[in-house]
Amino acid sequence: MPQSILKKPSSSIAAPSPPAARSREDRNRETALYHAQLIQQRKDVEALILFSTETLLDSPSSPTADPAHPSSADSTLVKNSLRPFQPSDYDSLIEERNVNKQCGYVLCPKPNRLQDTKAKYRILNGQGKGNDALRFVEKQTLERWCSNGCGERALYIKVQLSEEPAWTRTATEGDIVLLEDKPEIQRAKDGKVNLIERLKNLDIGQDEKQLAAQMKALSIERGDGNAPSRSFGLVETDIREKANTSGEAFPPEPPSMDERTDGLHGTIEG
Amino acid sequence: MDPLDQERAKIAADAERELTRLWRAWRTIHEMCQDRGYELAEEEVRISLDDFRDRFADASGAPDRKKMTTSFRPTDVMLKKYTPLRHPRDTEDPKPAIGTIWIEFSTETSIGIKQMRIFAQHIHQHNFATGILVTQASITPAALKIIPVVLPQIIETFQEQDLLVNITHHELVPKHVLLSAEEKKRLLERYRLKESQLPRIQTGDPVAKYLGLRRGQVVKIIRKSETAGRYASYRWAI
Ligand SMILES: [Zn+2]
Repeated sequence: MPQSILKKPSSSIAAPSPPAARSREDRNRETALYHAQLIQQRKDVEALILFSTETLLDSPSSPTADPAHPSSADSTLVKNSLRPFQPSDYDSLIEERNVNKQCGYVLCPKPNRLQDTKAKYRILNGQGKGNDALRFVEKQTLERWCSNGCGERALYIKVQLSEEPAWTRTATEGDIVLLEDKPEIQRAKDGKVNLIERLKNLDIGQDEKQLAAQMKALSIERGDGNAPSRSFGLVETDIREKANTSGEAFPPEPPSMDERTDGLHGTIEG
Repeated sequence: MDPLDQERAKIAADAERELTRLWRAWRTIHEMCQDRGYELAEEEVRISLDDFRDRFADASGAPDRKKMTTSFRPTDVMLKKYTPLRHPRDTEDPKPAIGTIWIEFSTETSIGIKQMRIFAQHIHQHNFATGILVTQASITPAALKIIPVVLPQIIETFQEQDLLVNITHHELVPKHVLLSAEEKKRLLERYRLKESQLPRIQTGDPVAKYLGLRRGQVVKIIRKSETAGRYASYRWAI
C-alpha cells in the first residue's frame, strides 16, 4: 500500500527572503532557483496525481466491495492518494472511471448507471411535493454514479479537496473523511431526521455547489466544525465568486456559519 | 416495404455512410503519411471505396475498425531530413529522429487513461518511433497527459471527424514544407537570425499537426501571390 506519498512541497522551499542587504545578483539567482524548484515540484505533483488516478481506477480491491463499508486498506489508499488532488483532478478521476463504465465513487465496484436515452435531460419524480415533485436532471450527471448514495459519498470527498494546487500549499492538510466515517450523518440517514432525504432531492451535479454547501452545513451542524475547515472555506469562497460574476440565476447563497442555528430546512428550501 | 425491410434498409444505409466516412479518414491518413515522407505505394494512397469495402467491411457492410491498422517506414529523404546536425563532440554520426510509424483506428467509443496506456504499450513493445491513434471521440484530459511521459516515442492522436477532409488540399491553405536541421541552420545564418526571432507556429495548429511538427523545427510556407508570384515565409514551431 502506498504510504504518505506526497512530499510536503512548499515547506521545503524557502521563498525568496526580503530584499535586505543582498546584491541584486544574489536576489536574481535566488528567485530563479525558487521558480525552478516550484516548476519541478509542480511536475512531481502532476506525475503523482496521474499515477494515483491510474491506481484508483482499480479501486476498490474487491469486485464485491460495499461502498458503504469499505475495507480499511481501500479507504486508507483512497485517503492518502487523494490528498494532493484539486477538485478538478478529482472530477477527472470520476470521468476516467466512467470511461471504464465504473461508478464514479472511488470505493464502489459497481458499474455506473447508463440511461437508455439520447435526451440530454431526464425528468425524475422527486419525493417531495410542489417544487420537489419533478426534477430535471442532466443525463450525464446521473450516469456518473451507480446510485444517488454514491453521488453523495463522492461529493462529500470533493468538498474537502483544496482548490489550491498541492505544490503551492503551505498549510498542513487535514485528513480526508469519508461520509461513512461520520456516524452522526449515518444516524440522520437511518433515523427520523429527514436531512439526507432532503439532500437526495437536490440534483447531484447540476446543483453540485448547492449540495456541497448543504453537505458542509450538515457537517458543521453535526459538531464537525474542526474538520478540514480550510478546504471548506475555499469551497465557500468559490461559490460566492461564481454567484457574483455571472448574470445567470443561481441557487441562493449557502448559509454562512453563524446562520446555521436555524437548522438546515430553511437553507435547503431556499 | 414491410417494417422489417425498412429497418434493414436503414441499417444498411447507416453502415454505408459509416464506411464512406472511414474511407475518407483512411485516405487522409495515408496522404498525410506520404506528405510527411513515409514510403507509400501510390495505390495505397488512392484506394477506391470498393477496395476499401473489400478490405475493411464486416458482414453487415459496416467498417471493422479492428482491421484498420497499418505501418510505414520513412523514405531515405525523410531519414535525412530528421537527422540532427553532427556536433563537433559527437563521436559517431547522429541517428535520424524518425522511424517506423504505426497507425490504428480505435474501436473504443471513449478513450481514457486505460485505453491510452494499452496503445502506448503496443508502440513500446514493437519499438515504433511514432504511433497515431485515430479515435471516434475526444480523449480525456488525463489520458492526454500520458503522451509526454512516453517520449521519445511519439504518440499523436486524431479524431475521425477531423480527417474527413484533407485540410492541406484546401485552396486557402498554403504549402508547408519542413526544413531539415541543415536547411534551418543555413536559413538562420543567411539572415543572421536567432530561431526565436522567427514568427511562430503552434504544434497544435492543424497544419502543424498534419505534418507532425515538433518543437524547434522550422517550416517554410509557400504562398502564391497575384502580384509577387510565389513567396516564402518561415515559422518556428513551439
Ligand atoms: Zn457506486
